[in-house]
Amino acid sequence: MTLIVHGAPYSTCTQRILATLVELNVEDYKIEFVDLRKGVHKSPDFLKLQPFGQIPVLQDGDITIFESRAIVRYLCEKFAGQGTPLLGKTVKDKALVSQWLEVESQNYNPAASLIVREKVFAPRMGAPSDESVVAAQTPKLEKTLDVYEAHLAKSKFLAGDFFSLADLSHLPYTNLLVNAAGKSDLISSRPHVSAWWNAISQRPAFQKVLAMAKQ
Amino acid sequence: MIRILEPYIPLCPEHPEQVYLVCPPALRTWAEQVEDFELVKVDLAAGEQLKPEFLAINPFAEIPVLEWGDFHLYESRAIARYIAEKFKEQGPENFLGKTLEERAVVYQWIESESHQFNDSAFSPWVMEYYLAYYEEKRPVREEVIAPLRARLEKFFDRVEARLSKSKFLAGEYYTMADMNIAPSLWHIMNFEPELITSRKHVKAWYEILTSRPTFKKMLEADAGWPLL
Repeated sequence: MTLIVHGAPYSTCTQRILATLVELNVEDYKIEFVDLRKGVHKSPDFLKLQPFGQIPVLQDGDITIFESRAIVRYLCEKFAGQGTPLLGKTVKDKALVSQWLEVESQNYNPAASLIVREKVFAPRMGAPSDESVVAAQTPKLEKTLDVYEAHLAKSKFLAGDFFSLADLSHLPYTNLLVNAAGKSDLISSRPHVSAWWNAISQRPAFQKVLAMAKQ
Repeated sequence: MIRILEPYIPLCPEHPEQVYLVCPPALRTWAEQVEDFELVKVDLAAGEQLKPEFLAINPFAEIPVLEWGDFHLYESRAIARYIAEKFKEQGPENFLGKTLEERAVVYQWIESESHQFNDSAFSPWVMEYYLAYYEEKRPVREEVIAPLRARLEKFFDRVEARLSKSKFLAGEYYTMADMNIAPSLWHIMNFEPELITSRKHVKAWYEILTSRPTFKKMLEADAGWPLL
């Protein structure tokens, strides 16, 4: 039974799924490319798959799941015991992974994604960048990163001494912040965040995903 | 003994940090599974969450926090998941789904509540109402509320379509996906009930969720909650 990922390899939320699949050593999947530029994600057929008109969507046999953070949890449970133990080993490990996944989702992603939208996506679509949004969101992201800096001084990765889904969830948007949005100083000015970023972004799984994005 | 650190809100107008109360208090509804817990009030008006002792357990200075011996956990949805797993023999049947596939659908709706409902619509919407009614004692700003209301309408249209095919969000059973949104629905009924009452399936679902004994227990714990 093949897994089908409806999405685009250059798209951040799709990358969350692809990085997870590679970390879990899952090879039996295919990518069904959804052409956002042609508005395929708003077509009636696509809306039957995903009523909010967003990518990615996972199909696994009869079931269809959307929301990338739900999909990656499902994949970790489905493929438990193979590849990287992305949810840790104990119930407490998993709780801390959940906690930091929520932190990424509530405290990191809102500011990071708004900055990336203005600095990276808008220019790519030929739209003007709203610098006032960047100016408003940057201090929020700085505040969050200050907490990360203090935490990562005591902890190798977010949920403990193991690489987890919580770290992985930060990869796609942080990659764009650092390498496309001109905001690498947010990371490089914080030594522990910087060391953490180097460790997680250099993992072969994410490097493979970036190569897929270039094709 | 499990302790939950949650907000004590005396609703003092000088302290705008009271908007923390909009964090979905799914926590008290997880009384579905755990009876033996203690609620510890954190005095937000006095800035208790900004003190070093609190920051040591949650550096993001947010409530709620679960404390169990030395173990601390924050983020309400992470706490709910941990409790569901730790106490899975107790509480509602199939609370997170029976099979792996059902779990996936529960997770999906948990994320939809978090991103399509809470972050992008409900949270700023309810914050505007509380600021207007309790903090600044002024009318609600329609230019702030109107786009948020439009997003809520869109979200509820999708939920209406979903609930025309299944009794609860993730299928035929009450799950954490329903639990997580229930307290927010109650706030919506407080301020703009027609968002719920104008949709047949959403209204029926709302009535089921809020008549659960654990939901009523939560409201009692909040006695003195300012209703309009």
